[in-house]
Amino acid sequence: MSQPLIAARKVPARAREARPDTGNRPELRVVVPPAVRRLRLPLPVACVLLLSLGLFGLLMTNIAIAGDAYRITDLRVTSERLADQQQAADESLAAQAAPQALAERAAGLGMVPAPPPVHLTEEGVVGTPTAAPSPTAAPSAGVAEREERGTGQEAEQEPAGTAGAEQPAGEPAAR
Amino acid sequence: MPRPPAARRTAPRTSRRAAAPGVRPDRRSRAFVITVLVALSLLAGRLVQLQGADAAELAQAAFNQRVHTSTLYAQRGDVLDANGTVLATSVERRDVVADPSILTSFNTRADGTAREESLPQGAAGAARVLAPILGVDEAGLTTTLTGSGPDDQYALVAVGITPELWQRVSDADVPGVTSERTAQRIYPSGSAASTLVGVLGTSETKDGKTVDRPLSGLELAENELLEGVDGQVRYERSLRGQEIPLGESETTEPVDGTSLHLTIDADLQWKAASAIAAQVEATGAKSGTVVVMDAQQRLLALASAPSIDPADLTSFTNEELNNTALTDSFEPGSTAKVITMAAALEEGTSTAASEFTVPDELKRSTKVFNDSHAHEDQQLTLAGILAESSNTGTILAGEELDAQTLYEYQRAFGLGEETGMDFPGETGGILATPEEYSGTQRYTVMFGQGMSVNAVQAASVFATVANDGVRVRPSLIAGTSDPDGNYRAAGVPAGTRVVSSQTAETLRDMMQAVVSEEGTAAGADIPGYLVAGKTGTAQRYDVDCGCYRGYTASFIGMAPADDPQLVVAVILQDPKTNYYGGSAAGPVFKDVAGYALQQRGVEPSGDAPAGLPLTWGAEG
Amino acid sequence: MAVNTAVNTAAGTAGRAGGRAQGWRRPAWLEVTGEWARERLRLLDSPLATHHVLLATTSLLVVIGLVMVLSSSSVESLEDNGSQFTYFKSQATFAVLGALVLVVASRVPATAWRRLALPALAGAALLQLLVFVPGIGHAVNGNRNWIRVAGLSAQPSEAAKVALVLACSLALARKRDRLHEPGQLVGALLPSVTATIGLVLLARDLGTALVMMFIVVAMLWTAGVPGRFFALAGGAGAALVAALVVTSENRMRRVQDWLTGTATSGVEIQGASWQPVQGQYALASGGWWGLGLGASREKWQWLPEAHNDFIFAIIGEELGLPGTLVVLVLFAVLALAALRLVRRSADLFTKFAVTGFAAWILGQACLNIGVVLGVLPVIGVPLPFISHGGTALVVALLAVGILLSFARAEPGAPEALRARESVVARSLAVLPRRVRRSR
Repeated sequence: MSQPLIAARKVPARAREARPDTGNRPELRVVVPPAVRRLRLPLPVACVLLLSLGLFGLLMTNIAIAGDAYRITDLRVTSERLADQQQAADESLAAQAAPQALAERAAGLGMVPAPPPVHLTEEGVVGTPTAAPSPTAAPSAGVAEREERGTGQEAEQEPAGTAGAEQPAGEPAAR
Repeated sequence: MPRPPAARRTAPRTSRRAAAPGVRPDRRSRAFVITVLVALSLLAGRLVQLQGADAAELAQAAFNQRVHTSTLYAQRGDVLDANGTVLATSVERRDVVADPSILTSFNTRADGTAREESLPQGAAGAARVLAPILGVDEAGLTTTLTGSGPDDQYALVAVGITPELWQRVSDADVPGVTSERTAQRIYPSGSAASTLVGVLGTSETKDGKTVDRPLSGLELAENELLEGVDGQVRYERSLRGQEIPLGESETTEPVDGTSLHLTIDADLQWKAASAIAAQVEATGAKSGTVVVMDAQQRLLALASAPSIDPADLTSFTNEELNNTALTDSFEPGSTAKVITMAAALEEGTSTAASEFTVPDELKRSTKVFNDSHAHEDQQLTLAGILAESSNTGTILAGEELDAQTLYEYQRAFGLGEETGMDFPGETGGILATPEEYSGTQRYTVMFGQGMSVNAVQAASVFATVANDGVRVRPSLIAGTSDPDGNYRAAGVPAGTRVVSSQTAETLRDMMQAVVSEEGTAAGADIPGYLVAGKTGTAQRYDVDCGCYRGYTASFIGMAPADDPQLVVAVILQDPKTNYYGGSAAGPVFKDVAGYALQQRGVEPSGDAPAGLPLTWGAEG
Repeated sequence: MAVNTAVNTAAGTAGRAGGRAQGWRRPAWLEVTGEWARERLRLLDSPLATHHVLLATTSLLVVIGLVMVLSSSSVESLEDNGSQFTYFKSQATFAVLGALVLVVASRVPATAWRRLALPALAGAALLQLLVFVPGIGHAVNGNRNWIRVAGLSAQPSEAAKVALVLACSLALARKRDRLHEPGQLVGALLPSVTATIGLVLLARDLGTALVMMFIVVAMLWTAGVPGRFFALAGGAGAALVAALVVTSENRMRRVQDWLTGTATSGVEIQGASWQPVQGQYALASGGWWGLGLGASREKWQWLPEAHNDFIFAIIGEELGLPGTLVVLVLFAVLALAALRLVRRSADLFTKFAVTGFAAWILGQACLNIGVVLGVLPVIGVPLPFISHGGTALVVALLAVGILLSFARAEPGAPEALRARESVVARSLAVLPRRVRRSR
């Protein structure tokens, strides 16, 4: 409020008297009204349009997100199944890599522990070569024993392993 | 409102004339519209009430029905051997449960007829579908699925089936059949490493969660490390279980357990376990132990027999559960003479060639000590005393040292304290201080009676000798790998010198004679390698009777003696058929050490046997 | 006219405010908005105002409906059909079809509907009878009110509503001066009521029958049937509804659920009260401002028929109170437009028909919203223009088309239409000049 008053006081008297003439300058009158008029119609329309566009965009985004949620779920299920397969494979590997399983299998194949080795050193041959003992159990008996002793887990794993191998090929067809 | 003149023209005259007096359609229509507006306002009021005023409570109820919490299971860490062979791992399993009250209406329409004619209705139909998948008897399954009646809501159908089998059950789409996730610990190496790795027992409830309680071994010792922390996910879901993406969701990721990498070699462990198990059976021993370690005291095998079958935890004894190599202490007997010899050599009271006239009987304090075999007076060197395992000779050599000095050597070799491996149930044995000695104990400790050790401590003494007199604490865990697979090696324990390398070498040379023809354990000789070792045949203190009963037969040795790579200790408790360390434990040593040398590709010994003189005088 | 008064008052207030606050200048935006609003309200003076308001309101409702059908059906559609847009596409197709029907109907001369009334009644009755023909008629949710021919299904009871309104209007207009005689009244209404409500009731579609009864009552009221008849009929109607409710276990349970109030625990809300409870959950979850378009949680299968009978609940959940209130306001505007049409039409048939159509749309809207808000038992009527359902949408747009046809016959409207046609012709010449000026 006080600013214009101070400004007016500072203006010399001559200048104040001269103002009515300058007030008739064409620029001041012509520019303002069209600016207001131009705003009149588009503003509400633009608001509604913008709101509608925003809402529509929001809707489509949300729909896309919902669709993706289902895809994520599908992929998660696939991932879990693959993890299960991997776990089954790991389990089977661990069971087969265990020393006693290897030993049993070797015995089943008719293999025997090696006799003490004979070393060839700078001083010559160390030790006496001995022939490997003949297997105490017939190969077939060894296999039978292994299958009999095989735990339920091992028995299950082999079919599971084959199913796992087939699944990647079968899955796309099922979907 | 200005009404155009056209209005009157378009209005049909007949209708206007027919209007009933006093009743005008426009007024009635206005009343109707006002009624509608009032109705709409009432609905608007109700809306404000529902969406504004009363919303919070209802919205919370709506949220509560949508929100779902489920556990994200952490994977327990694996136990692996030095080569990455799995000794223990966890796998996912499913327990199949059924709701008999739902199954009564299986294959039944609302009107009571069957959906599928060929299939029985109710539990029997469900059993026919599921029995071939689960591989069980259909009649038995029908009984299970029927439960205790139509009000029964829980029936356990199958326990611990694989996820893949569950998937097939799930695909059969029988309503009311669900599964509960469980984890099963599997031990591929079976009973060979079970006492070392330990077993995870049956589940128990802790903090409202079901957890498996470790019973023994590393599973128990390192439980905090192995055990993961289960996570949790909380999300809003659709009626059919789909997660609502815009809903609230909160996930606490599970933290998997840390995996243990052991210094153990699974193959060697198996070899040791089967060898000792066979010998325990052959000799009728109460129990047996094999310890294999390298010179830096990294344990390569730690087998004990009998041992528990980790796949069958229904019944077991404490002996089967515990690793007796650490949990059992025994009087070491002659193997402890090595400490006495080491002290005598290091203190300079004797050399390997020092000459002793060894009588059959020797009276010290109140007791007469004698050797295991009656003999004439012998003229033995210090090496000879060790080779012949003479008690009287050891007393002659040992009494040149004062009791405190010997005690300090015994402590320095690791006796009288736990190995520091923090193994559950480990005992450090008993080692009395000289002040506590009673009667003859000053003399008995020289040949390993009146004190007790566990098998690892006993092996550790020899490993110190093998390592040129520097003792390193025994170690079992090579490192750990966190859930992301980052491996962190365990710190290498610092070594402490117990005896000089010269003393150690002399001791090794003296011990070579044990497996020679003149020694007590000729059967422990491994062709191509120089073996240094010591037999032990000690009277066994039986806790059950509180008396000495039976024997502890042992053989502890190292190979190759000229550059020791391996230390193998074989201990048999209370063998019935053969209680001499050399003949009962020696062959197991030969078997295990021979296998280990071959498996690890150890070069055969280049040096000639030390051949120290065992006797002196005319006979020598 | 109420509208005129409102405009005058607004202008007067503005003038007084301007005079009083000499030191205070109204902000430019207020002046602009006021001016804009005054200009819009002045449009109501036009003879075509009814036509425009009806058309605009209906369009808005249909657009809101399309958007909300898309939003509320997307999850269900994805689960059922693998695409999120299946239900929306069918609704959009019917909306386009309905728009065509609306345009055509609005161009039909207002006087023609009088002649079409009886053929429409006959046709509707015939269609309704098809429901009982095995192989063509189908039952959905226990109501045998669908016909299916060559893969296309439709609800003939919707078409019957149009026929009912037209036929009743005709009968009432003819018997205008003898409506106080019960015999005459019954005689006048019997054929049309039997052919429509009777057949719908035979198909056991109580919801539609209720809406139809409401239509008849509203028309009778407007036609000037004495008030005592309504008291009687009201009693009889209540008795009839009670009888219908008691004879059906399904309806009985719905009413019981409604009377016993809202259960809020998940265990309790099984069975028939599930749907209204979920509807109220949806509204409550939306709260004041809604969760945002497309963000409904209840549409994830919790609320059955989310895109159909309970779409209003999803509007409330996604758009909040503003969304639901806008819908209510739009229906209120429709009611006001219908009243204006009644008052400005001179023809009695028109008056009755407009009342009938208004009663149909508004009655059905109030029933539907009342059900969703839990103030009425579950009746099973869709929300006009908004709920998913092809037949209902097309027929509702036909009704609006007929209303528009009446609006185009309002006093002064034909002249205004002719004038507008010439304005359109001239506008090409006008446009360049306006563009030039604004520069």
